[in-house]
Amino acid sequence: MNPIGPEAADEDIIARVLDGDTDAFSVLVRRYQRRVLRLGYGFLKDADAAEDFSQDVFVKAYVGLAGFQGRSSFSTWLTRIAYNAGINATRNAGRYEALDSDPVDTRSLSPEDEHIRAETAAALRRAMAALPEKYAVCLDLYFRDGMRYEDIGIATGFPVNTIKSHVFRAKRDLRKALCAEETRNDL
Amino acid sequence: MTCERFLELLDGLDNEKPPAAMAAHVRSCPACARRAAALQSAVDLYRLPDIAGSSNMVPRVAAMLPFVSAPRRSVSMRNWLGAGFVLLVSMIMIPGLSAFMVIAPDLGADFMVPVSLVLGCLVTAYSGLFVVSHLDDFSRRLKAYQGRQAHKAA
Ligand SMILES: [Zn+2]
Repeated sequence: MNPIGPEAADEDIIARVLDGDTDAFSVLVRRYQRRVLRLGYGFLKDADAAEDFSQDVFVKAYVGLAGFQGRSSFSTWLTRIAYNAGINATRNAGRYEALDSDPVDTRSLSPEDEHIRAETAAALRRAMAALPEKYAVCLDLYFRDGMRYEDIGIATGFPVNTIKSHVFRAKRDLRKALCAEETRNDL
Repeated sequence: MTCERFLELLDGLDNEKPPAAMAAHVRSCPACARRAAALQSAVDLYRLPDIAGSSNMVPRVAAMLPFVSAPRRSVSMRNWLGAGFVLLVSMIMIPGLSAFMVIAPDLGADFMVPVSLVLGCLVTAYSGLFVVSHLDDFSRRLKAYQGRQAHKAA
C-alpha cells in the first residue's frame, strides 16, 4: 500500500486502518492530538496525566474503530470518546476547567495579538464561570476547536439549544469586552 | 437589517460562514464591520493552531497498538440476519415464479439439478461465512458458558 498523505480525508484513513494498515492511524493521532490533549488537561489539570489520558483515548478509538459508523464525523466521534473518558476519570474529582494559558498552544504571538488573546481568554473564563460547571467544556469545544453546536451536542450529550445559548452569551460578553477595550484605546 | 439585529445574529452564528444578508450589512455598515472583524480576529487568535505543541502523542500511541486487538470491518448481526432472511424468502419465492413454473416441467431434472446446486451453494456460503466470521464470538460465548458451569459446580 502507498503511504497515506497528511491531507487524506479521515474516512479514507479509517478505511486503510480497517484494511490492516496500522501505521495509517498515526495520521489521525497527529491530526487530533491537540484537541484530545487539551480535553485531558481540562479534566485532569496535569500534563503527565493528560498525556496518559490521550494515549488511552487514541487506543480506545483504535480498538473500537470498526464501530465508527460515519453517522457523525470522525472528529466528533473521537471527541465523544475523549469527553466520556474525561467524565469517567473525574467522576469523583474536579470538573472541566479551561486553562489560562494553553499548554498545547506554543505559538509566539506579537505583543498586540498576545494581548487580544489574553483578553479573549479572560472574557471566556468569565463566561465559563457564569455557567454551570459541566457546560464549560462546550465553550472550549466551540472556541478552541471550532466545533459546531450540533457536533458539540453529539460529543457531550447536552441539548443543542442549551449549548447554543451558552455560546451566544459568551460571544456577546466577549464582543462587549473587545468593544470596551477599543473605546479605552481610543481615549 | 438593523445593527442590533446584525449583532444578535453574529452572536448566534455557528462556526460557519455568515449568511448573505449579514455579509450585505457588513458592506454597508463600517461600525458593524469593525465589530465583526474584531470578534473574528479574537476568536481566530484563541483557536488552537494546527501545529502540535510540545507533546507528540504519535510515538506513544503507535507503541501501544501492537498490544491491542486490531479493529476489523464487521458486519452487524442485523445485516447478517437481514441477508439470511432475504436468502430464505427468495428460496421460498423461486418455485412460485411464473417463469419457474413454465420452465421446470419442460426441462425437468436438467433444470432442477443446477438450480438446486446454486441454492445449495448459496446456503453453504452464507453459513460458512457466518461461522468463520463469528468464531471469536462463539469461543467467547463458549468460555463464558464453561465459566458459568464451573461456577455452578463449585
Ligand atoms: Zn451595523
